[in-house]
Amino acid sequence: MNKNNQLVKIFHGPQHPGITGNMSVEIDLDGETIVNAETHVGYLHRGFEKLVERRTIPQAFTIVCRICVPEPDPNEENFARGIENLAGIEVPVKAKWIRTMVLEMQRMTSQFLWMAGQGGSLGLYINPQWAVADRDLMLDLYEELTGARVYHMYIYPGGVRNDLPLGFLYKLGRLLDYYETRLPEYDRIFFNNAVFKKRAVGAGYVSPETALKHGVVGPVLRAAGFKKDVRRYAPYEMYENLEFDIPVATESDVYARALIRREEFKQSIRILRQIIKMMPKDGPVNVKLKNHRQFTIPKGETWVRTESSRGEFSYYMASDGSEKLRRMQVKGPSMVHAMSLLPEVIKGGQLADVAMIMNSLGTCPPEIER
Amino acid sequence: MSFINDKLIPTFPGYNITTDDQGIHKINIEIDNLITIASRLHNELNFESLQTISCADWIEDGYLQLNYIFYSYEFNQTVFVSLNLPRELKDDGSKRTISTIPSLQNIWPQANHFERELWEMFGVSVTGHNSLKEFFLEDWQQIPPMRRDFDTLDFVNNSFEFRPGREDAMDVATERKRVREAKASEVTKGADVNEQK
Amino acid sequence: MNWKLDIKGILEPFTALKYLFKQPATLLYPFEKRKTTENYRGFHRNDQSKCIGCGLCEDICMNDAIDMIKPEIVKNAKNSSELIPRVDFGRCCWCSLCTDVCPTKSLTLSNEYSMVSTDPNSFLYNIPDTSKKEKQNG
Repeated sequence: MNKNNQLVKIFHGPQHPGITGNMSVEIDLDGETIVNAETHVGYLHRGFEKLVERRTIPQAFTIVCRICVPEPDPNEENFARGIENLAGIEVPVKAKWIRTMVLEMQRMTSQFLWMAGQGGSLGLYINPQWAVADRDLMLDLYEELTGARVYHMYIYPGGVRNDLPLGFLYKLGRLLDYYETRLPEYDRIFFNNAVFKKRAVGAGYVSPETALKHGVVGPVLRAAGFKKDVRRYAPYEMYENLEFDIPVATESDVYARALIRREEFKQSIRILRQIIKMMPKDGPVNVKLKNHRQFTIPKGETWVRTESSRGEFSYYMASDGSEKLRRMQVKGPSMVHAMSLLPEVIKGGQLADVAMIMNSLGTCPPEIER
Repeated sequence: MSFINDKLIPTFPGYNITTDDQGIHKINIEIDNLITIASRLHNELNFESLQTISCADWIEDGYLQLNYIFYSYEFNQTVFVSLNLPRELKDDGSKRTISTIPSLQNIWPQANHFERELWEMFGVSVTGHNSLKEFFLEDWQQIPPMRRDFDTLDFVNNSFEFRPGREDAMDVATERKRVREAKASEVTKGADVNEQK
Repeated sequence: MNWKLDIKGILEPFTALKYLFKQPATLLYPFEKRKTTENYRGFHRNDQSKCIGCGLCEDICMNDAIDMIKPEIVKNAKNSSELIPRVDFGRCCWCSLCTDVCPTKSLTLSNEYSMVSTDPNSFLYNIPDTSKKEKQNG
């Protein structure tokens, strides 16, 4: 409170280094303690859902990856699978394997990005530098596979766009070896860091009841003690054939979520190693679609889900029998995490912890506004 | 599918329940029954999470189709609660629908934001909602933008100027026709020349 | 919050100091450049001796980035409309749908990706012709 015994109102974002993108949190402060909070979005509305209604299917597929900046591939896969459900396209087996591989690679790159953000929000700037440098090595592989580094536009309805380049799996294996040697280094500077532990343990607690009630997904739900993962309960692509563990914790604070993400990173390495072994040698990687003006989809609706590194992405799609979709509705994890969960979690906490908690919940404004 | 026979039909007798080939159960209801159905799904069948409220504008049939998508971790089942909302707008200039839906925010807090989005993007009137204010858009004066009768291309042409320098673009179909005719006339000319020789 | 003295956790982060004595991970940019891979999606190229002016690239481009314009000389006798594509890089998103759809594969993407200019009009890009170079080489 200021000297007149009034609460101080501040805006945390949109121009604030500790915010995860283009959103702002309006905070009422009593000293350093947060009394009330509300999330505001609207700085990044691009109207993708409306644009998709105006475009034919191949034209629309180039735009869905832009819905989430750090994780384009789960969106591409969701869109492709939704179209395949509606149009009744059977995808070749090798394409499914490649898709699974791309999704797991994506999970690793976005875990690195999370690590960078989590370190940055604490003032541990060695973390962003290392994590972004290590992520770049994976982006190099993406460049070789898809021709682009961030927005790959690789998974499209009917398969993937091109086959694996020569020696790709070998390079991927080598990179995984390197990442395994890097993980103890990250443990030393970040996960076991006394300062991080002191800040993170107990901060940003989400009770299991809150988690269920709000429909929380991903690592936040798993840190609250629920062993739920889309890859397990609604398996898609090739996840049925792969062995992996789902890490759970019960502490449900920032530190528990960090350890869960670390464990998921290890599981991604494990999954990718299996994929390298099981990848079919040859076979088609896509089915040829019709000319985009003649590629019509029968009337119907579908709901598809993908597990991204921050939780479940779900798409509702409805088609009306023309070459364009009638409606594509995106629901990303942030819609819940940033809009309804974040204000509740930071209430009563300290102003300095807002950025850390926001990062830990995995908020990402682009997918709220689409 | 046993879930539909064991759980859904006994709980909701008399409703039109279908299951499609993707395993999604769909309950078609009237607007008045929404609160009852939703709270019974939540309390009796343990559908913990409201995933999203999807909306599709079927302009030719004159309604907005709202799908309340519920998911149960316990049964691993998805249920769509589907209702058709007439899409006519009020004529008092508020640009919101005449028919209203009740808010589910007392059962699921995140429904607040889903309904706020529907209110803004489709103009769905919501009752019992505590924060119906602008969400993504700022000072929006036109009809809600996700409705099918809102023309984005028209909006862009009216609101923005295009950079000059691209006027020399030509239409492929007309040019192709022109070239074909030019070639045809050349051929006939050539034939004439040959004949004269 | 009870917290025990965690000496290991305090000292271990300092092991990162050993990277001071290692080679830098970055490139000396203006002198040393990154090599892009073979199928990198960079600027467009068009082999005008193969281009048939069908306009499919213009049709599929969702950003309206491609215009069909009249070239100075028509290099392909089979060019049905006597037009060639031109790209507006202010709009292009490098999705490479135009090259996928090209029936004669005359339109391709090169490895180059850097373009610096103070004039925004220079981003209206006349696609360089590769057919000439091939003749010089051959």
